[in-house]
Amino acid sequence: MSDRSASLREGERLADMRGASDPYGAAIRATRMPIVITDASQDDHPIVFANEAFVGLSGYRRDEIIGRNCRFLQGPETDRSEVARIAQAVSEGRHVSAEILNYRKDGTPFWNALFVSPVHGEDGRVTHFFGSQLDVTARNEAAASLAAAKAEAEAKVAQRTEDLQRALDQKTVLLHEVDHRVKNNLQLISSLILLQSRRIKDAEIRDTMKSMLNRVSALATVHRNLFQTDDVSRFDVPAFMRDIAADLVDASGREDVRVDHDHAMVSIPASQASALALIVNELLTDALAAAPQDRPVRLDLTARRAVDDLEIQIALDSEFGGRADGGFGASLIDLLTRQLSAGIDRSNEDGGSRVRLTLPVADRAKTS
Amino acid sequence: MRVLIVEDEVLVAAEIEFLVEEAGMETLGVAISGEEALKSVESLRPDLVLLDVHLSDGPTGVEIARKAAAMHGVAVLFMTANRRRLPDDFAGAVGSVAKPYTEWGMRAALRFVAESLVAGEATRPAPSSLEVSPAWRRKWRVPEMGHATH
Repeated sequence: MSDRSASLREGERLADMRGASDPYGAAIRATRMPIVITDASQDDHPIVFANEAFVGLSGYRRDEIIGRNCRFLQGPETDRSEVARIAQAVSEGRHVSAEILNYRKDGTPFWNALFVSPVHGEDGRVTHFFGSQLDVTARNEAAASLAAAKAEAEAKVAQRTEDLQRALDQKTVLLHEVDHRVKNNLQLISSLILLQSRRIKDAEIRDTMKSMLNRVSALATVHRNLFQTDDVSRFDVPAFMRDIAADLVDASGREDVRVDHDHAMVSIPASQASALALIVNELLTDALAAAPQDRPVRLDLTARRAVDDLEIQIALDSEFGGRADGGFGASLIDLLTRQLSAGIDRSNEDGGSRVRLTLPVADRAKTS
Repeated sequence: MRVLIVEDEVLVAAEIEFLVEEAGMETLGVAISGEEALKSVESLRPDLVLLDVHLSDGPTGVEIARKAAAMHGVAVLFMTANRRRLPDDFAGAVGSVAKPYTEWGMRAALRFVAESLVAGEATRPAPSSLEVSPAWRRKWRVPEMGHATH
């Protein structure tokens, strides 16, 4: 054990060297940073000086401090390996900084960011150590609570993401289920119409049933082509044009109808697909019905984007107009073009006819 | 050509039977479950099985296709509203007709498959209603259509 009176004497000696009028001494006594000086020449390096700030930080009286080694601030939760690291540096006469948990006289812990630095005498030997302390409890707690808040926020985000993913998965399953049912029901409707129309003797009624079947088939073709791509909100117009043309030409029973497709990559919102399909069905049916039977015919189908419009053109190398279908086909076209705010333009030239459907295509962002 | 129809919607099946007969083929009847289908495939040895994927006992069509394709000389053609359920190799099947198919789409597909089965190779391009599997496209040397936008 060090002799406490020796520490007191050394303290007084230092105080005499830096009296009340000495600015260095005044500074170290009055600074708000807790500071101690230990005597390296005595065993166990007792504290020989502690400033007011240190007294205030530790809660001990000055007479309880002088003559003791700094370890009296340690307690049960103090990191022993950090203490050993400081001791190692001190024994080697090096400066060291560390952050350790210390305890006040009343037992309350505080995080102490300390810096220990050797003081050399004129002969170069270490005579004292100077230790400054800083209570960083508040800073550490703020950092800890920030980290906790961040972890909590991240957990919430992860949970929310999981919830959203689950909702999306359910939506996808539901979409596939509904899609499947719509397709199967359309198949069923087609089968019903076909099964019944086969029993009908009256040619005119059978023709009407056939027209209805073709309209249902056009809708079936729409639904077959929907959901084929990842963007379920868009409808691929060229793919539809090929399918419906192949169907109606086959249905016409003619092998001498040549169909030329010239389509740009155009799509429309899925919500407009059924109306468009029914119009195209009527127009193609009209053209094929009007095609002369005594020679091969040619159909030219084009779909392209013209500024803000989608243009679909059906051209036949023979003149055709509307059908005498009790006017129903014509009213369908009329009603559906109005629904789509579309325009129909018919013209005849060089012995052929063409009909052009112009459909305003809204911005992608506005349609869904 | 002897054709087995596997479809759990009997009205749809009835219509297919009509189309099959119209195309000059013989129908061996309709199976509405996977179990029934397997029994019929084994006992009746059809030349062609028209196969729905979703049957009365669940989505068993793909499994049936594998077993049928493994049997000598049984060609399978899927009819499905759920193309995504089919494996990349079509479980050995000739191909798939997407539902809802149209009367003429199915007619064209049946004609193509029947003709190709008889000739051992494709005699015309496959109709747009029929997606031929990669293996059968090679086997039948199916001509490509070459669409500009497809």
